[in-house]
Amino acid sequence: MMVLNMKQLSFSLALVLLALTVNLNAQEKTRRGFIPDEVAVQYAGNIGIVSVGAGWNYAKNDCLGTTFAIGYVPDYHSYHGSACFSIREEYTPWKVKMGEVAAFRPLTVGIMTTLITGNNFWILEPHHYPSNYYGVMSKIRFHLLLSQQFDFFIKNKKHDSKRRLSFYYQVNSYDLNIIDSFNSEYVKFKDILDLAIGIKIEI
Amino acid sequence: MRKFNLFKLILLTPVFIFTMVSCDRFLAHPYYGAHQKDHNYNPRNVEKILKNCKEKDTVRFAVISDSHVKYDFLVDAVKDINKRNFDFVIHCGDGSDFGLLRELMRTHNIMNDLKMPYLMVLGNHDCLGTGKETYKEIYATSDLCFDLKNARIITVNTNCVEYHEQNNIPDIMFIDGLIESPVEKPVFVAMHGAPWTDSFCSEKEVYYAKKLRSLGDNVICMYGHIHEHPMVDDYYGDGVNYYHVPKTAYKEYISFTITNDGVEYEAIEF
Repeated sequence: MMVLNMKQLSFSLALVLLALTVNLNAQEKTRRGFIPDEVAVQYAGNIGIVSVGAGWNYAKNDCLGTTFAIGYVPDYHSYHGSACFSIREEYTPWKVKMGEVAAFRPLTVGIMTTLITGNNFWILEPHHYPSNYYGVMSKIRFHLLLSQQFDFFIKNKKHDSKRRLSFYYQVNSYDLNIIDSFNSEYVKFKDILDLAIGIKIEI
Repeated sequence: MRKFNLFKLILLTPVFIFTMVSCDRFLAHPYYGAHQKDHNYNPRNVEKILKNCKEKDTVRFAVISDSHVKYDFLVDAVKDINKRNFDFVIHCGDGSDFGLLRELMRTHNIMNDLKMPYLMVLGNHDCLGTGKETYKEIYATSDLCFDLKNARIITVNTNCVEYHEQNNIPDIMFIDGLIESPVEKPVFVAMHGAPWTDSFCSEKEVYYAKKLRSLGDNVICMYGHIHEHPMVDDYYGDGVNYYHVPKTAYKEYISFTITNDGVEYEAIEF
Protein backbone atom coordinates (compact mmCIF):
# COMPACT_ATOMS: atom_id res chain seq x y z
CA MET A 1 0.00 0.00 0.00
CA MET A 2 2.84 2.32 0.87
CA VAL A 3 4.53 1.56 -2.44
CA LEU A 4 1.33 2.39 -4.28
CA ASN A 5 1.12 5.69 -2.43
CA MET A 6 4.70 6.45 -3.39
CA LYS A 7 3.86 5.75 -7.03
CA GLN A 8 0.80 7.98 -6.89
CA LEU A 9 2.79 10.72 -5.20
CA SER A 10 5.57 10.65 -7.75
CA PHE A 11 3.23 10.70 -10.71
CA SER A 12 1.17 13.53 -9.29
CA LEU A 13 4.44 15.42 -8.79
CA ALA A 14 5.33 14.78 -12.42
CA LEU A 15 1.89 15.98 -13.51
CA VAL A 16 2.20 19.14 -11.43
CA LEU A 17 5.56 19.84 -13.08
CA LEU A 18 4.02 19.39 -16.51
CA ALA A 19 0.97 21.50 -15.64
CA LEU A 20 3.22 24.26 -14.34
CA THR A 21 5.11 24.41 -17.56
CA VAL A 22 2.76 23.56 -20.38
CA ASN A 23 0.90 26.90 -20.67
CA LEU A 24 3.88 29.18 -20.39
CA ASN A 25 5.01 31.36 -23.26
CA ALA A 26 8.66 31.78 -24.00
CA GLN A 27 9.64 34.56 -21.67
CA GLU A 28 12.87 36.18 -20.76
CA LYS A 29 15.03 34.02 -18.60
CA THR A 30 15.44 36.54 -15.82
CA ARG A 31 11.70 36.57 -15.25
CA ARG A 32 11.36 32.81 -15.12
CA GLY A 33 12.77 32.19 -11.67
CA PHE A 34 12.53 28.54 -10.75
CA ILE A 35 10.24 27.64 -13.62
CA PRO A 36 12.06 24.98 -15.69
CA ASP A 37 13.44 25.75 -19.15
CA GLU A 38 12.61 22.39 -20.59
CA VAL A 39 10.70 19.17 -20.07
CA ALA A 40 12.55 15.93 -20.75
CA VAL A 41 10.92 12.58 -21.42
CA GLN A 42 13.33 9.65 -21.43
CA TYR A 43 13.14 5.95 -22.19
CA ALA A 44 15.32 3.66 -20.03
CA GLY A 45 18.76 4.79 -18.84
CA ASN A 46 18.60 3.31 -15.32
CA ILE A 47 16.14 5.96 -14.05
CA GLY A 48 12.90 4.12 -14.81
CA ILE A 49 11.49 2.55 -17.92
CA VAL A 50 9.94 5.93 -18.73
CA SER A 51 10.80 9.11 -16.88
CA VAL A 52 9.58 12.68 -16.98
CA GLY A 53 11.88 15.47 -15.92
CA ALA A 54 12.22 19.21 -15.64
CA GLY A 55 15.45 20.86 -16.77
CA TRP A 56 17.12 24.18 -15.99
CA ASN A 57 19.89 25.57 -18.21
CA TYR A 58 22.33 28.23 -17.08
CA ALA A 59 25.87 29.65 -17.21
CA LYS A 60 27.49 30.99 -20.39
CA ASN A 61 25.65 29.79 -23.51
CA ASP A 62 23.55 27.56 -21.29
CA CYS A 63 26.48 25.15 -21.10
CA LEU A 64 25.36 23.76 -17.74
CA GLY A 65 22.09 21.97 -17.18
CA THR A 66 20.36 20.42 -14.21
CA THR A 67 17.53 17.96 -14.71
CA PHE A 68 15.29 16.50 -12.06
CA ALA A 69 13.35 13.45 -13.22
CA ILE A 70 10.89 10.92 -11.88
CA GLY A 71 10.75 7.53 -13.51
CA TYR A 72 8.70 4.40 -13.12
CA VAL A 73 10.33 1.03 -12.46
CA PRO A 74 7.69 -1.60 -13.33
CA ASP A 75 6.69 -4.55 -11.18
CA TYR A 76 7.65 -8.16 -11.81
CA HIS A 77 7.15 -11.33 -9.75
CA SER A 78 6.88 -10.32 -6.09
CA TYR A 79 8.35 -6.84 -6.67
CA HIS A 80 5.60 -4.21 -6.68
CA GLY A 81 7.35 -1.61 -8.79
CA SER A 82 8.47 1.79 -7.57
CA ALA A 83 9.46 5.31 -8.49
CA CYS A 84 13.00 6.36 -9.24
CA PHE A 85 14.03 9.96 -8.54
CA SER A 86 17.09 11.25 -10.32
CA ILE A 87 19.01 14.46 -10.49
CA ARG A 88 21.65 15.00 -13.15
CA GLU A 89 24.13 17.76 -13.80
CA GLU A 90 25.41 18.05 -17.35
CA TYR A 91 28.03 20.12 -19.12
CA THR A 92 27.91 20.86 -22.85
CA PRO A 93 31.13 22.49 -24.10
CA TRP A 94 30.19 22.80 -27.79
CA LYS A 95 27.16 23.57 -29.86
CA VAL A 96 27.44 23.26 -33.65
CA LYS A 97 24.84 25.39 -35.44
CA MET A 98 23.34 23.95 -38.59
CA GLY A 99 21.60 26.95 -40.09
CA GLU A 100 18.59 28.58 -38.47
CA VAL A 101 16.63 25.43 -37.86
CA ALA A 102 18.98 22.94 -36.25
CA ALA A 103 22.00 22.49 -34.00
CA PHE A 104 24.09 19.59 -32.85
CA ARG A 105 25.67 19.12 -29.43
CA PRO A 106 28.49 16.64 -30.11
CA LEU A 107 29.30 15.94 -26.49
CA THR A 108 27.60 16.34 -23.16
CA VAL A 109 29.18 14.92 -20.03
CA GLY A 110 27.42 14.58 -16.74
CA ILE A 111 26.99 13.00 -13.36
CA MET A 112 23.77 11.68 -11.94
CA THR A 113 22.44 10.45 -8.62
CA THR A 114 19.39 8.21 -8.49
CA LEU A 115 17.20 7.15 -5.61
CA ILE A 116 14.75 4.29 -5.91
CA THR A 117 11.78 4.04 -3.54
CA GLY A 118 10.45 0.85 -1.98
CA ASN A 119 11.19 -1.56 0.83
CA ASN A 120 13.53 -3.72 -1.26
CA PHE A 121 16.23 -1.07 -1.06
CA TRP A 122 18.00 0.64 1.80
CA ILE A 123 20.38 3.47 2.62
CA LEU A 124 21.29 2.21 6.07
CA GLU A 125 21.36 -1.56 6.41
CA PRO A 126 18.22 -2.89 8.14
CA HIS A 127 18.56 -4.15 11.71
CA HIS A 128 18.29 -7.82 10.86
CA TYR A 129 21.79 -7.80 9.34
CA PRO A 130 24.97 -7.91 11.42
CA SER A 131 26.57 -4.44 11.42
CA ASN A 132 28.16 -3.36 8.12
CA TYR A 133 27.27 -6.71 6.56
CA TYR A 134 27.09 -5.66 2.92
CA GLY A 135 28.64 -2.22 3.19
CA VAL A 136 26.90 -0.71 0.15
CA MET A 137 23.55 1.09 0.07
CA SER A 138 21.20 -0.21 -2.58
CA LYS A 139 18.80 2.74 -2.68
CA ILE A 140 21.18 5.32 -4.15
CA ARG A 141 23.39 4.87 -7.23
CA PHE A 142 25.89 7.28 -8.79
CA HIS A 143 26.17 7.43 -12.55
CA LEU A 144 28.46 8.89 -15.20
CA LEU A 145 26.79 10.15 -18.36
CA LEU A 146 27.80 10.86 -21.95
CA SER A 147 25.28 12.07 -24.47
CA GLN A 148 24.78 13.65 -27.87
CA GLN A 149 21.88 15.88 -28.74
CA PHE A 150 20.20 17.17 -31.89
CA ASP A 151 18.27 20.44 -31.56
CA PHE A 152 15.51 21.62 -33.87
CA PHE A 153 14.09 25.13 -33.60
CA ILE A 154 10.39 25.47 -34.27
CA LYS A 155 9.06 28.94 -35.03
CA ASN A 156 5.93 30.12 -33.35
CA LYS A 157 4.48 32.84 -35.65
CA LYS A 158 1.81 33.93 -33.18
CA HIS A 159 4.30 34.92 -30.50
CA ASP A 160 7.21 35.57 -32.85
CA SER A 161 9.38 33.19 -30.85
CA LYS A 162 11.34 29.98 -31.29
CA ARG A 163 11.09 26.81 -29.29
CA ARG A 164 13.71 24.13 -29.17
CA LEU A 165 12.84 20.48 -29.63
CA SER A 166 15.78 18.18 -28.88
CA PHE A 167 16.42 14.50 -29.39
CA TYR A 168 19.19 12.90 -27.44
CA TYR A 169 20.68 9.59 -26.61
CA GLN A 170 22.72 8.90 -23.54
CA VAL A 171 25.34 6.33 -22.57
CA ASN A 172 25.54 5.79 -18.85
CA SER A 173 27.31 3.64 -16.33
CA TYR A 174 27.10 3.46 -12.56
CA ASP A 175 29.40 3.00 -9.58
CA LEU A 176 29.06 -0.76 -8.98
CA ASN A 177 29.35 -1.56 -12.69
CA ILE A 178 32.50 0.55 -13.06
CA ILE A 179 34.05 -1.14 -9.99
CA ASP A 180 33.24 -4.55 -11.53
CA SER A 181 35.14 -3.61 -14.67
CA PHE A 182 38.22 -2.86 -12.55
CA ASN A 183 37.88 -6.11 -10.61
CA SER A 184 37.60 -8.45 -13.58
CA GLU A 185 39.11 -8.52 -17.05
CA TYR A 186 36.05 -10.45 -18.13
CA VAL A 187 33.97 -7.28 -17.71
CA LYS A 188 34.86 -5.27 -20.82
CA PHE A 189 34.27 -1.54 -21.22
CA LYS A 190 31.29 -2.08 -23.51
CA ASP A 191 29.69 -4.41 -20.94
CA ILE A 192 29.21 -1.65 -18.40
CA LEU A 193 27.39 0.78 -20.68
CA ASP A 194 23.63 1.30 -20.67
CA LEU A 195 21.67 3.36 -23.15
CA ALA A 196 18.77 5.77 -23.05
CA ILE A 197 16.95 7.87 -25.61
CA GLY A 198 14.89 10.95 -24.93
CA ILE A 199 13.20 14.13 -26.05
CA LYS A 200 13.50 17.60 -24.53
CA ILE A 201 10.98 20.32 -25.22
CA GLU A 202 11.76 23.95 -24.44
CA ILE A 203 8.93 25.65 -22.66
CA MET B 1 40.30 20.79 -42.76
CA ARG B 2 41.28 19.36 -39.41
CA LYS B 3 38.18 20.77 -37.84
CA PHE B 4 36.03 19.19 -40.54
CA ASN B 5 37.53 15.76 -39.85
CA LEU B 6 36.96 16.11 -36.14
CA PHE B 7 33.40 17.16 -36.79
CA LYS B 8 32.87 14.16 -39.08
CA LEU B 9 34.29 11.90 -36.39
CA ILE B 10 31.93 13.33 -33.81
CA LEU B 11 29.03 12.90 -36.22
CA LEU B 12 29.95 9.26 -36.69
CA THR B 13 30.03 8.43 -32.99
CA PRO B 14 26.28 7.73 -32.83
CA VAL B 15 26.79 5.14 -35.56
CA PHE B 16 29.49 3.41 -33.50
CA ILE B 17 27.41 3.57 -30.35
CA PHE B 18 24.34 2.14 -32.00
CA THR B 19 26.24 -0.81 -33.46
CA MET B 20 26.40 -2.14 -29.90
CA VAL B 21 22.73 -1.46 -29.30
CA SER B 22 20.58 -4.31 -28.25
CA CYS B 23 17.42 -4.27 -26.21
CA ASP B 24 19.20 -5.40 -23.05
CA ARG B 25 21.13 -2.12 -22.94
CA PHE B 26 17.95 -0.13 -22.37
CA LEU B 27 17.50 -0.80 -18.67
CA ALA B 28 14.80 0.62 -16.43
CA HIS B 29 17.08 0.38 -13.41
CA PRO B 30 20.30 -1.47 -12.44
CA TYR B 31 18.17 -3.82 -10.33
CA TYR B 32 15.32 -4.31 -12.77
CA GLY B 33 15.50 -7.79 -14.32
CA ALA B 34 12.16 -8.65 -15.91
CA HIS B 35 11.72 -10.06 -19.43
CA GLN B 36 14.89 -12.14 -19.62
CA LYS B 37 15.43 -14.48 -22.56
CA ASP B 38 16.26 -17.45 -20.31
CA HIS B 39 13.34 -18.61 -18.18
CA ASN B 40 12.81 -21.55 -15.89
CA TYR B 41 16.48 -22.42 -16.11
CA ASN B 42 16.89 -24.71 -13.07
CA PRO B 43 13.88 -26.98 -13.78
CA ARG B 44 14.90 -27.25 -17.44
CA ASN B 45 18.42 -28.24 -16.44
CA VAL B 46 17.08 -30.86 -14.02
CA GLU B 47 15.29 -32.42 -16.99
CA LYS B 48 18.54 -32.37 -18.97
CA ILE B 49 20.46 -33.98 -16.08
CA LEU B 50 17.81 -36.68 -15.68
CA LYS B 51 17.88 -37.37 -19.42
CA ASN B 52 21.67 -37.81 -19.40
CA CYS B 53 22.28 -39.51 -16.04
CA LYS B 54 19.14 -41.17 -14.72
CA GLU B 55 20.27 -44.74 -15.40
CA LYS B 56 24.04 -44.15 -15.16
CA ASP B 57 25.95 -46.22 -12.61
CA THR B 58 28.63 -43.60 -12.16
CA VAL B 59 27.74 -39.91 -11.97
CA ARG B 60 30.29 -37.17 -11.36
CA PHE B 61 29.43 -33.62 -10.49
CA ALA B 62 31.32 -30.47 -9.53
CA VAL B 63 30.24 -27.91 -6.93
CA ILE B 64 31.41 -24.30 -7.05
CA SER B 65 30.33 -21.30 -5.01
CA ASP B 66 30.67 -17.58 -4.27
CA SER B 67 31.94 -16.41 -7.63
CA HIS B 68 30.93 -12.79 -7.06
CA VAL B 69 33.18 -9.78 -7.65
CA LYS B 70 36.04 -11.68 -9.32
CA TYR B 71 34.46 -13.03 -12.47
CA ASP B 72 37.81 -14.04 -14.04
CA PHE B 73 38.13 -16.90 -11.54
CA LEU B 74 34.70 -18.18 -12.51
CA VAL B 75 35.80 -18.14 -16.16
CA ASP B 76 38.88 -20.21 -15.17
CA ALA B 77 36.76 -22.59 -13.09
CA VAL B 78 34.40 -23.16 -16.04
CA LYS B 79 37.36 -23.86 -18.33
CA ASP B 80 38.77 -26.37 -15.82
CA ILE B 81 35.42 -28.09 -15.32
CA ASN B 82 34.98 -28.39 -19.10
CA LYS B 83 38.32 -30.23 -19.30
CA ARG B 84 37.16 -32.87 -16.83
CA ASN B 85 34.40 -35.38 -17.25
CA PHE B 86 31.53 -34.07 -15.14
CA ASP B 87 27.85 -34.83 -15.70
CA PHE B 88 26.56 -31.61 -14.13
CA VAL B 89 27.59 -28.67 -11.98
CA ILE B 90 25.99 -27.06 -8.93
CA HIS B 91 26.70 -23.40 -8.12
CA CYS B 92 26.05 -22.89 -4.40
CA GLY B 93 25.01 -19.26 -4.80
CA ASP B 94 26.36 -15.70 -4.63
CA GLY B 95 26.92 -15.34 -8.35
CA SER B 96 26.26 -11.63 -7.92
CA ASP B 97 27.52 -9.14 -5.37
CA PHE B 98 24.48 -6.87 -4.98
CA GLY B 99 21.70 -8.67 -6.85
CA LEU B 100 22.11 -6.40 -9.87
CA LEU B 101 20.79 -7.69 -13.19
CA ARG B 102 24.17 -7.18 -14.90
CA GLU B 103 25.95 -9.22 -12.18
CA LEU B 104 23.47 -12.10 -12.27
CA MET B 105 23.60 -12.16 -16.08
CA ARG B 106 27.41 -12.12 -16.10
CA THR B 107 27.53 -15.24 -13.93
CA HIS B 108 24.77 -16.81 -16.02
CA ASN B 109 26.60 -16.11 -19.29
CA ILE B 110 29.90 -17.49 -17.97
CA MET B 111 28.19 -20.60 -16.58
CA ASN B 112 26.47 -21.10 -19.93
CA ASP B 113 29.89 -21.89 -21.41
CA LEU B 114 29.81 -25.15 -19.45
CA LYS B 115 29.46 -28.22 -21.64
CA MET B 116 27.17 -29.80 -19.05
CA PRO B 117 23.97 -28.45 -17.41
CA TYR B 118 24.27 -26.47 -14.19
CA LEU B 119 21.99 -25.66 -11.29
CA MET B 120 22.13 -22.30 -9.58
CA VAL B 121 21.33 -22.05 -5.88
CA LEU B 122 20.20 -18.67 -4.52
CA GLY B 123 22.82 -16.95 -2.36
CA ASN B 124 22.30 -14.14 0.14
CA HIS B 125 24.05 -11.57 -2.07
CA ASP B 126 21.80 -12.57 -4.99
CA CYS B 127 18.78 -11.55 -2.89
CA LEU B 128 19.69 -7.88 -2.53
CA GLY B 129 17.48 -5.23 -4.15
CA THR B 130 15.25 -7.08 -6.57
CA GLY B 131 17.80 -9.88 -7.01
CA LYS B 132 15.31 -12.44 -5.66
CA GLU B 133 12.86 -11.53 -8.42
CA THR B 134 15.54 -11.51 -11.12
CA TYR B 135 16.75 -14.91 -9.89
CA LYS B 136 13.16 -16.17 -10.08
CA GLU B 137 12.84 -14.75 -13.59
CA ILE B 138 15.92 -16.64 -14.83
CA TYR B 139 16.18 -19.78 -12.66
CA ALA B 140 12.57 -20.13 -11.43
CA THR B 141 13.37 -21.79 -8.09
CA SER B 142 16.15 -22.87 -5.78
CA ASP B 143 14.15 -25.70 -4.18
CA LEU B 144 14.77 -28.71 -6.41
CA CYS B 145 14.89 -32.46 -5.93
CA PHE B 146 15.63 -35.24 -8.38
CA ASP B 147 16.58 -38.89 -8.12
CA LEU B 148 19.49 -40.46 -9.93
CA LYS B 149 20.16 -44.19 -9.90
CA ASN B 150 22.56 -44.03 -6.95
CA ALA B 151 21.74 -40.71 -5.31
CA ARG B 152 19.13 -38.10 -4.59
CA ILE B 153 20.15 -34.51 -5.31
CA ILE B 154 18.42 -31.65 -3.49
CA THR B 155 19.06 -27.91 -3.70
CA VAL B 156 17.48 -25.56 -1.16
CA ASN B 157 17.17 -21.86 -0.52
CA THR B 158 18.48 -21.24 3.01
CA ASN B 159 18.75 -17.44 2.90
CA CYS B 160 16.51 -17.12 5.91
CA VAL B 161 17.74 -13.64 6.91
CA GLU B 162 16.91 -12.21 3.47
CA TYR B 163 13.32 -13.47 3.77
CA HIS B 164 12.85 -12.51 7.42
CA GLU B 165 9.64 -10.56 6.65
CA GLN B 166 7.95 -13.37 4.74
CA ASN B 167 9.28 -15.96 7.23
CA ASN B 168 8.83 -18.72 4.62
CA ILE B 169 12.46 -19.60 3.99
CA PRO B 170 13.77 -22.26 4.34
CA ASP B 171 10.72 -23.95 2.86
CA ILE B 172 9.87 -26.51 5.56
CA MET B 173 6.93 -27.87 3.50
CA PHE B 174 9.34 -28.75 0.71
CA ILE B 175 11.72 -30.53 3.10
CA ASP B 176 8.82 -32.28 4.88
CA GLY B 177 7.59 -33.58 1.53
CA LEU B 178 11.01 -35.11 0.93
CA ILE B 179 11.20 -36.58 4.43
CA GLU B 180 7.92 -38.38 3.74
CA SER B 181 9.54 -40.21 0.83
CA PRO B 182 12.96 -41.21 2.21
CA VAL B 183 15.54 -43.08 0.13
CA GLU B 184 18.30 -45.48 1.09
CA LYS B 185 20.79 -44.05 -1.41
CA PRO B 186 22.98 -41.03 -0.50
CA VAL B 187 21.14 -37.70 -0.33
CA PHE B 188 23.10 -34.62 -1.45
CA VAL B 189 21.80 -31.27 -0.25
CA ALA B 190 23.25 -28.11 -1.82
CA MET B 191 22.62 -24.83 -0.01
CA HIS B 192 24.24 -21.44 0.22
CA GLY B 193 24.53 -20.89 3.96
CA ALA B 194 24.69 -23.83 6.35
CA PRO B 195 22.25 -23.69 9.32
CA TRP B 196 24.87 -22.27 11.73
CA THR B 197 26.04 -19.45 9.42
CA ASP B 198 24.90 -15.81 9.63
CA SER B 199 22.64 -16.01 6.56
CA PHE B 200 20.43 -18.48 8.46
CA CYS B 201 18.05 -17.48 11.27
CA SER B 202 19.52 -18.78 14.52
CA GLU B 203 16.08 -19.64 15.98
CA LYS B 204 15.46 -22.14 13.18
CA GLU B 205 18.97 -23.61 13.12
CA VAL B 206 18.57 -26.77 15.23
CA TYR B 207 15.07 -27.47 13.94
CA TYR B 208 16.25 -27.29 10.32
CA ALA B 209 19.43 -29.32 10.97
CA LYS B 210 17.21 -32.08 12.39
CA LYS B 211 15.04 -31.92 9.26
CA LEU B 212 18.14 -32.28 7.07
CA ARG B 213 19.20 -35.29 9.14
CA SER B 214 15.82 -36.92 8.50
CA LEU B 215 16.22 -36.77 4.72
CA GLY B 216 17.91 -40.17 4.57
CA ASP B 217 20.47 -42.54 6.05
CA ASN B 218 23.43 -40.92 4.34
CA VAL B 219 22.94 -37.16 4.03
CA ILE B 220 25.74 -35.09 2.52
CA CYS B 221 25.35 -31.30 2.72
CA MET B 222 27.28 -28.82 0.59
CA TYR B 223 27.41 -25.12 1.48
CA GLY B 224 29.29 -21.98 0.47
CA HIS B 225 28.95 -18.51 1.99
CA ILE B 226 31.80 -18.48 4.53
CA HIS B 227 34.66 -18.13 1.98
CA GLU B 228 37.00 -20.72 3.43
CA HIS B 229 39.10 -23.44 1.83
CA PRO B 230 37.45 -26.86 1.37
CA MET B 231 36.64 -28.61 4.64
CA VAL B 232 34.42 -31.38 5.91
CA ASP B 233 32.72 -31.30 9.28
CA ASP B 234 30.07 -33.34 11.06
CA TYR B 235 28.96 -30.07 12.68
CA TYR B 236 26.07 -31.38 14.78
CA GLY B 237 27.60 -34.82 15.45
CA ASP B 238 24.51 -36.44 13.92
CA GLY B 239 26.26 -38.19 11.07
CA VAL B 240 25.51 -35.49 8.47
CA ASN B 241 28.74 -34.33 6.87
CA TYR B 242 28.83 -30.69 5.82
CA TYR B 243 31.23 -30.09 2.91
CA HIS B 244 32.30 -26.49 2.48
CA VAL B 245 32.54 -25.29 -1.11
CA PRO B 246 35.30 -22.67 -1.42
CA LYS B 247 34.84 -19.39 -3.30
CA THR B 248 36.14 -19.52 -6.87
CA ALA B 249 38.70 -16.79 -6.08
CA TYR B 250 40.63 -19.45 -4.11
CA LYS B 251 40.92 -21.33 -7.44
CA GLU B 252 39.34 -24.36 -5.83
CA TYR B 253 36.14 -26.31 -6.12
CA ILE B 254 34.91 -29.69 -4.96
CA SER B 255 33.51 -32.70 -6.75
CA PHE B 256 31.65 -35.90 -5.92
CA THR B 257 31.67 -39.19 -7.79
CA ILE B 258 28.68 -41.41 -7.11
CA THR B 259 29.07 -45.10 -7.94
CA ASN B 260 27.29 -48.33 -7.03
CA ASP B 261 29.86 -48.73 -4.23
CA GLY B 262 29.48 -45.32 -2.63
CA VAL B 263 30.55 -41.70 -2.83
CA GLU B 264 34.00 -40.25 -3.48
CA TYR B 265 34.85 -36.66 -2.56
CA GLU B 266 37.62 -34.64 -4.15
CA ALA B 267 38.81 -31.06 -3.67
CA ILE B 268 40.19 -29.76 -6.96
CA GLU B 269 42.59 -26.87 -7.53
CA PHE B 270 42.74 -25.14 -10.89
